[in-house]
Amino acid sequence: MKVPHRLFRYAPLAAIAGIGAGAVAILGRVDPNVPGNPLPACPFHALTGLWCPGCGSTRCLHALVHLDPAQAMAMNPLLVLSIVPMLVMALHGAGLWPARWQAPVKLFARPIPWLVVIVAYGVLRNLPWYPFNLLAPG
Amino acid sequence: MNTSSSPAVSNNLVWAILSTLFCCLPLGIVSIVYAAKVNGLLVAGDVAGARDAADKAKKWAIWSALAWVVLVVLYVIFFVVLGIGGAMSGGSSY
Repeated sequence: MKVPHRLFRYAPLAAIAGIGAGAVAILGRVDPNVPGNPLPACPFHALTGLWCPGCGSTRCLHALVHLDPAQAMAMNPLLVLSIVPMLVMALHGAGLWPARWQAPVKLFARPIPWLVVIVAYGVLRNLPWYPFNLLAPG
Repeated sequence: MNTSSSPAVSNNLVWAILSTLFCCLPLGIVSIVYAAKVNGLLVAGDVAGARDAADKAKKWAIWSALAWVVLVVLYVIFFVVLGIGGAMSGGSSY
């Protein structure tokens, strides 16, 4: 059961587009900041009480859908900053990125820097003092 | 197989990052670790190894997404059950 490579290369782009469309459709109507809202909270945070790299993503997307970049940055800054790099990688993977302009692809499509940034982010946003507390949602 | 300038083996890094930022679980980190091995193995000429690492990166991203779904379902069930139990007992003991 293997998806043809030719089709699969569009999958990351489709996933990102799907998340975006889903965010507009759902978060345009439902507010994750309201207590008792039906949206799922981060299971990692519910289990451990710690902030993971994905904590605040729902509220971040909600703020983005409502064109509030400051609130989005307050909820999950790494997610906001990752949108453009992920789009570049997804477009490149789909073969839709201009071949003559490879600098952004070379800059973003490197796993080790991502690994370092995400792990460091996951640790630092749990530190309770300034400026690291800015990384935690809420 | 793939003769264009793009790497012959996709390292599935986008999946790894997406699963880490949206699935809230350390499993996504494992996915990024495997994605990080792909290019090094390709440079070393180990195409089979690179493909294996890329597959593992994809697998861990999928596991991360599935684990998220399972945990959310458990979480919802837990809360619905607790909510009903709390309502039936006057909401005092939960």
